[in-house]
Amino acid sequence: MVVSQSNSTPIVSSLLTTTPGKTNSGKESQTSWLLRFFESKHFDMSIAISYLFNTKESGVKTYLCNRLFTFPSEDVDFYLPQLLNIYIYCCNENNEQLMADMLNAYFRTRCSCRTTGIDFSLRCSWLLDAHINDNAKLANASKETRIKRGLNNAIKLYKLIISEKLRPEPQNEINNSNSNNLNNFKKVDSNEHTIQNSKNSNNVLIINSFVKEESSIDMENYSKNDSSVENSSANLLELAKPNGELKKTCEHNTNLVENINLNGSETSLNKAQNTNSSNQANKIHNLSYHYSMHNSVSSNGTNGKKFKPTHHRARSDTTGITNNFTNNRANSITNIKLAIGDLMSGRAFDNNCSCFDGQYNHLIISSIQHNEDNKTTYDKESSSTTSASSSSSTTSETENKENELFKSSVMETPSSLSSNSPNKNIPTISLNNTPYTNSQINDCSCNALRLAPELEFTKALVAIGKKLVRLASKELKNQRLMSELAIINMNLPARVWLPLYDFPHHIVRIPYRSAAVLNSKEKAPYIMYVEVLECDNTHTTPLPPKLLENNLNKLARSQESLALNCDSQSNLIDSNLLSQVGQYSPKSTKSLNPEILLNQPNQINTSNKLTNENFSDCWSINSDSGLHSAPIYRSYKNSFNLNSDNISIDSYMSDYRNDTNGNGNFTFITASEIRRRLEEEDSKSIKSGLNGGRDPDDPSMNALREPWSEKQARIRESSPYGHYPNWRLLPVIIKSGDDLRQELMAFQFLQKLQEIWNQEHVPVYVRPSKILVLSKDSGMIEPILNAVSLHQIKKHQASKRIQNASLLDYFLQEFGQSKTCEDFLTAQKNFVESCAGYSIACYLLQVKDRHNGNILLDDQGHLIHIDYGFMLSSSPKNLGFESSAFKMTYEFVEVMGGVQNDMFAYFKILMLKGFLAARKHMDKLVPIIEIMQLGSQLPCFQKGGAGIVRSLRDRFHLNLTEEQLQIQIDNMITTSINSLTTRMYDNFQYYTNDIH
Amino acid sequence: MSSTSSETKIVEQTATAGCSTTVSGRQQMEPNTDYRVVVFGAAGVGKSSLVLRFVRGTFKDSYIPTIEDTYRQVISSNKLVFTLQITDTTGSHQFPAMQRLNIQKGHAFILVYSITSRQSLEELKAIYKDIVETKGINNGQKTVPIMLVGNKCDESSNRDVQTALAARLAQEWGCEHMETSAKTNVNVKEAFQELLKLDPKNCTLFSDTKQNDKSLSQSSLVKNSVNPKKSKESNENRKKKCSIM
Repeated sequence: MVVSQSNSTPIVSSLLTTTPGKTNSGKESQTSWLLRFFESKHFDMSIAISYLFNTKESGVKTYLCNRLFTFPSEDVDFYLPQLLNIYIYCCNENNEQLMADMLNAYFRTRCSCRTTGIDFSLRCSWLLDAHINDNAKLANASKETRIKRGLNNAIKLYKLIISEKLRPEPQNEINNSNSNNLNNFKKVDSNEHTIQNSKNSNNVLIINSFVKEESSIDMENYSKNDSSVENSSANLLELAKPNGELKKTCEHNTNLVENINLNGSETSLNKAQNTNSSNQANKIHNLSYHYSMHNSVSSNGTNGKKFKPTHHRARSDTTGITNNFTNNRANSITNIKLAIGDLMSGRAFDNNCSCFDGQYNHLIISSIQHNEDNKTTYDKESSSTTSASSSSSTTSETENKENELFKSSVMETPSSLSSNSPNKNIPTISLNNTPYTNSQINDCSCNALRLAPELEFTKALVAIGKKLVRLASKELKNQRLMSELAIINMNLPARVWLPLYDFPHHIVRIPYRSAAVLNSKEKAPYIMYVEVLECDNTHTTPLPPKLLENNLNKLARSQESLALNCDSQSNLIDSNLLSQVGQYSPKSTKSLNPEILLNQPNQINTSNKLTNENFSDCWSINSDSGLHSAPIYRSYKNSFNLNSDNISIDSYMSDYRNDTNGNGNFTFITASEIRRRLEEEDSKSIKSGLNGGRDPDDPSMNALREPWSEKQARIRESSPYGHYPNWRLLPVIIKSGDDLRQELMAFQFLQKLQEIWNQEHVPVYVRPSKILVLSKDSGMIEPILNAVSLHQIKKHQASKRIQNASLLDYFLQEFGQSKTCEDFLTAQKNFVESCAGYSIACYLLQVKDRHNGNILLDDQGHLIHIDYGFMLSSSPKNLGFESSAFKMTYEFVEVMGGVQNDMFAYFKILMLKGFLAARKHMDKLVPIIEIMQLGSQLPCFQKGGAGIVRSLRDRFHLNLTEEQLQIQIDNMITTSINSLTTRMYDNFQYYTNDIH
Repeated sequence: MSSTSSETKIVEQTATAGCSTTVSGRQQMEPNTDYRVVVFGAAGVGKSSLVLRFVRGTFKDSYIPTIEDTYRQVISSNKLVFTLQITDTTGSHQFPAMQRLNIQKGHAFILVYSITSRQSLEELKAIYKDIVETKGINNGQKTVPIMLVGNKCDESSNRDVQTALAARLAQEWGCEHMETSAKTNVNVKEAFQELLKLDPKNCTLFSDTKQNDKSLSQSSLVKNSVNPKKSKESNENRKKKCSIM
């Protein structure tokens, strides 16, 4: 205990207290001025990173490394690529070993951070992976010890992260030992207790890990109440609330249950332990445990809300056992093995960690509760049937399940009928905001792999891209993409997320039919959309339950269940609705269409060679616990559907929840609803008028053209998760085969420029799209929504045979008929502001390959440049086209109203002001590029060497006065407009690549 | 009168249309539901100072010519909470198109002059004329709330514009007048409050969010062709619903 306590002392504090003193005393005379600067309020991360890079003083370096701890982690994270580059390529001299160690300490501390550690670890590991692959050849060939040493550092850190050894110190350890001194004497007590328990069980395990110890400490919370049955059961309930390590509490809950012996469940428990690895027995154990819990709940007179977690208590009890450390019943559950990475398992992204599981019912309750006021009675009943049916334990599992389904659906009828009462609206209001604020469990105690799920998820996405490359036609690629994504979708929801987006969320579903392969000659990047549920914390908020695609699948799956459904519901639904079932069943067979593979769950089952006939097994989060919990979810859904039917008969609430039923369940739609939808369709077709018909050669066009808000509404309507108030749709482009680090650098540069312009109040516009590097040749890109490329605009204009169509015509067509109307003027202003922003950025970075396919126009008139594959020293085939400062065609000027117009004058002013602001903060911009040049293989650094950064600095024109700069910029604009090479390059692209 | 009412209606339409698109997307779009106040005035009269004093409560002596700046502030007025969007315009550059756009978009205007410069008051007359022309005034009834603000009232020793003179002009224009100082924080908040009180529509402007048929027909001009798949789907949808009927 003492040892682990000393381990837990934060590294941060020790470093901070020791080393600054060292620098102060040692080099005070030399660094005092610098130190004053470093300690002033002007000192920030951007200055720190450039000093860290430039300084030769090792004392300064160590000081700066320490200061890293004091900056907000977001600030440091922005410079993570630079920091890693410094770590790998700057710390190679012998006298800089200290700095390497300090940086290493920083990385390690951040990686094992409790809250942001996982994200930081992932980002680090991806970038390191890219570096390592980059330089593996180089290091071997050059035999330079410098590079080798740096690379060794990188590999060491990478392995450390990947092996998941960097974890937060167990929290309770600290908390308990520091704050709960009063209860110290209890610890001995509880320790003994645990040992006794483990002795009681079949395998005698020595408590050797502090996880176990910790759990024993945890136990003190309730061990004092051990004597009285009522109290302890009440405590069990409290533990369902965010209290600490759920996993442990589960374990001990059962221990307590054993001791307390509520309903003679001990016999069945013992039985469960004795029959090794028997699924059946395990279930009995679970259920009887569950039953006893249930009883304790009802004896306490608690309502159903409190009861619900006990389901999950039971579930986590089963899953938690599978973890690879000390557990009394580990041998009984060998059938749930870790299936990470196995996409066919349905749990490819499940690390079997159940520490945060127990509460997701809160989530369900909170988001669908408005029609579940009376659900509690039903729940209790259904659970009692569950335990009743399982205690008989003679029926096979599937039968059991069918039984449950039947029973619950019968049972739910009265509740759903009664829930038609007016009070159903009351909870909705209170719960629509943040449904679950109670997730204080912030520590995983089961030692499950923290990074693996996300790593596997991204790996799976990248792998798709690599598979697609081999396929010949776009059609084939697209079909394959959909089926591959469908397989991934099987494994969702899971604790995975898109690291591109800052807010915490869980991915619950991939609407794979909306994904599309993008245009590319050699590679196969694709865009997909991901349904997520926003949450408080990605890593600790309980996951939502798996919801089936729709009840349609269920109907198609077995005629039996169809009959069952009809039967159970027939007392509620009149024959009119029943006829609808008949109407929809042909449709369900239609969806068996082989065109989309894996559409039907049956197919998945057969392809997976899963012998289990029960389809929800492979779809539920956890196949074993699914037996237990899936019927309950399903019946939720059933009753919930029925509820909304009732609502719709009385008064139609236009709500997403009802829309999800439109997929084929019994829905009653009123005339007003139809009118509303028809109107929607009309407005949709109006808005989507931009690009004409469907283009079979270009599937991505169809995906990208649909306005975002409509796509979102459409997918939400068809999603089983759409009813959650925290539902969101996120777009992402997955690229494999391309190194995105150069894009990342450009993104950083643009982001910094944007920051500077905001700070300096210059109204120029840039829209950096976020980049995530996953490896040397893969990554994610944030798509720009509601934007089309100039190429597409031109192509469309050409296809409509509009003679001499210009961008101005497009503006007039899109944003209003006259040049004086508000919409047009706004779009024009947006165009000018974005044009200025990107002109400056493109000039500074010397971005090339500026053909119209790489320039987008969004629905507000903003011009957005994408694809920074050629910049600084590189250009396409280095032909020397595009010699002008930036791309400025006559068309652009025309949109601005011509050279004489004051909007053009506004453009010039913006260029000047924007340039001045960038120049003022040049020291924040140059290091982003400069540091990345170290040891870099990026194409933009291939030619020119040290000259690259020098000419970048030159482009800021530090030697010019403001007036001179104005003249310079005017000149640049004029020459760009008249540039022959720009026009030549557009023509070149037109003739060679058919880019208009 | 008829022309004025149609003018405000259009504003409302665009507001609702914008709202429907922005609700879903996380991407930051300019919400059109804001109440937009535009600040005009000659160069160096203290427009930015006034706005910054109001928005941030700060004041700086240094002079940096503004190009254009927009601030957003959540305001509660008339028991109603809404977002105030204040556009600080340039006084040093002449961008008639930008000015026209700002007038079109603005719901209320603050015309700033410096009490130390008669010239700055004169320059406002042209801007006022533009506002009147763009927004339209019939029968002497103004549709747009305008506030005439004499800034730098702390420098009364250098006074070039008598209070009475500006007040008379304000009366002539049918707008309110006030003297402020961004430097010493005199009347700044009051000026904005008065301006918001001037608008009788403040209460109604934000609550009314009904879809207007007119907007549909207007946007149908953009309509070109329909995505065949989508139309097919929609047909299916229609069929489905019909069958239920």
